[in-house]
Amino acid sequence: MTSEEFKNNLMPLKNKMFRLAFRLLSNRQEAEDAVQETYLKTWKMRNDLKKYNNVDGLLMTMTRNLCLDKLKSKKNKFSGLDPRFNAADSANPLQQSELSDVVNHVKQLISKLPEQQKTIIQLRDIEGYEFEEILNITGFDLNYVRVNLSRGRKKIKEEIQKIHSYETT
Amino acid sequence: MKLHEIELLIEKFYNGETSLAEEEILKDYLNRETVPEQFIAVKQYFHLLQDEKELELDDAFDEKILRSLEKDELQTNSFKIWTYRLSGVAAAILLLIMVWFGTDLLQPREVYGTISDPSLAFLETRKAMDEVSKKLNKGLQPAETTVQKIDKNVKRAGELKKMNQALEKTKGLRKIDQASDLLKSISKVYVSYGDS
Repeated sequence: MTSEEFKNNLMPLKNKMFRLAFRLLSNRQEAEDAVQETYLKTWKMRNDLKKYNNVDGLLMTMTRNLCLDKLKSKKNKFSGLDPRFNAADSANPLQQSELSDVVNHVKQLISKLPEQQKTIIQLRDIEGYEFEEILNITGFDLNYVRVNLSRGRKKIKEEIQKIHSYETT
Repeated sequence: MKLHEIELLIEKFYNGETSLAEEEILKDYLNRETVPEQFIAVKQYFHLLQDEKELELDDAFDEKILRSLEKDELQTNSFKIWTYRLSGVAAAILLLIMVWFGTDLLQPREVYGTISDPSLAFLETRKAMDEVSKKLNKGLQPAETTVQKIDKNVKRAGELKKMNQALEKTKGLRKIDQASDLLKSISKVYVSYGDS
């Protein structure tokens, strides 16, 4: 694979990869780094890419695995600290003061969902992947994906309803 | 689409059971200006996640990635080039060492050729002959010692002659025996004469 082919075939996937990485890491810079690392890895194995019939899925899997590794080492680094220190990563105090609207509230809620639910909602409801593709990327089974998708969706719905009821009353 | 059908679809949606096509129908329906109050939460859910899709990387990121790929390519290439170069240099050094020691080993220790100066030739010849005689002497030495040993033994054999001579001398003793025998017979004759 030449760098031209790489650019044309793989670079268009960058935003999907970035959004997944951002969803998992909640940090723009780290997410960018994760995407870059994934591309470099892919570049090193460019001669073997023909073996994979679904390069899109491969890149998403690699991105996810890389983010999980990063999260694991991060967790080890910050173990014992209040998780709110990490949550503060995503928004500075000024931004937080503007988090009055539904959108930002729910965004925060999503960032607190378990990793599996975050990944599945990201892949399904934001990127619009078929279940089959999600199974491919995550290695989960169909039932597990459905259950976690359902839980995540319901949780977000509840949150939206809660805020909505505050606003109306 | 009927309200009831939408409600069913939404229920299915929250159970994680809708297909992508069904979700598309739902989205289309909820994108209308006005939706019943009970669907607001779903509408906002879709709206919210649609918003999330706008998060994108700019072209500068592409540039950065492609540059780092080129850098990686360059690095691996230069690594290859350097390994080729180094192995070439190593081979050359090895060859030089082999030639150096090889020729040294193959070179004759003494100089062969024709000597035109007669006196020098004589000297060289004598040197050669000396060498030959030295070697020959060395070779003859064991033979010499053997001969010496043989001589020694032969000398000892000469001592046997003395024994013979001594034996010869003992022949005189026989004469004495004979004389004593004679004396005995004379005395016998004398005794018998006296008796008679």
